[in-house]
Amino acid sequence: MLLLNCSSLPLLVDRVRIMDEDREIVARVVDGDYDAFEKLVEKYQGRIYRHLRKMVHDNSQVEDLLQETFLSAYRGLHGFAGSSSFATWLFRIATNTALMFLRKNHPEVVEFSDEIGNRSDTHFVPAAPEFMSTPLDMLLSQEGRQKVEKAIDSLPFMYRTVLVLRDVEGFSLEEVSRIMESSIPAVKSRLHRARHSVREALNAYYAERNGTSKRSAAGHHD
Amino acid sequence: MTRCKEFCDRLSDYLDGEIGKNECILIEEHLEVCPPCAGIYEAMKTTLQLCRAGVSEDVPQDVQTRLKAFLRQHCQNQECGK
Repeated sequence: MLLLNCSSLPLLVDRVRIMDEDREIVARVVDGDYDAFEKLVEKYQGRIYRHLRKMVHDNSQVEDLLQETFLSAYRGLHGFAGSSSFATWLFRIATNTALMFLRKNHPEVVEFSDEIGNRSDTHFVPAAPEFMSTPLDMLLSQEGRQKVEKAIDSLPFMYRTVLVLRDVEGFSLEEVSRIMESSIPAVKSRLHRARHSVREALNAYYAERNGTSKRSAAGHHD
Repeated sequence: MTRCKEFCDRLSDYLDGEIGKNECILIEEHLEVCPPCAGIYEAMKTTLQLCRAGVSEDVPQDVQTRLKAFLRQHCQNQECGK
């Protein structure tokens, strides 16, 4: 607990610095400096693209939603009061843009996404030694990254979105609740189940993967 | 086992620093004497590290180019907020 708080201090300082920087750039945009707006676009396009990609799962639509998000942001920039960070404000626009698209075109994704299935009852899945003993650089290899993406993508919509905002984007619980327009208890509950589900998926994958390689090595030995 | 189940139920809040000091102490005491829960705790920390570092935020170059052109076309001659 103490360790977590100490290690989060530099992150907090960094976040305050970024918020100040963003407010300064926003003020320049509002004063008519279009180049400043392009700076904001360059700064956030990667994170917004990733968020939309994870929400919508349809790459052919993500580009349109990306354009729509930044256009809405530009048009609404006068309304940015600065009571939250620019990032929170922008992610809320992106989330609403994606939600409107999904409600119109794939309502089943949003309406019936509040079930995580039987996996939620199996949180006490012991950690596989194979998962824990796999070196971090291997976990972050091309194959490992694909596995993480797949584990996240297999979550139902609401769980996936909350997990991405909190654990991929690094927003606080309060910020996630603002972006999603959900209560903090609802965010916590979804996050809890989503995290266990991703852990179990990775656990199962590395247990199986290393088990397979050990069997294969034993086969070669024989 | 009840303690282990309680631990799993509270792990996410524990990692977010969302639980009180007394409960924190109970969890930390449990982690010291329960290797399976300590394993789950480590696995969950690794999972969160992987989530943070494992999802690419690369935007294809052509998408970036079209975004810039689209925004210039729609915004450049328009005051923001209009």
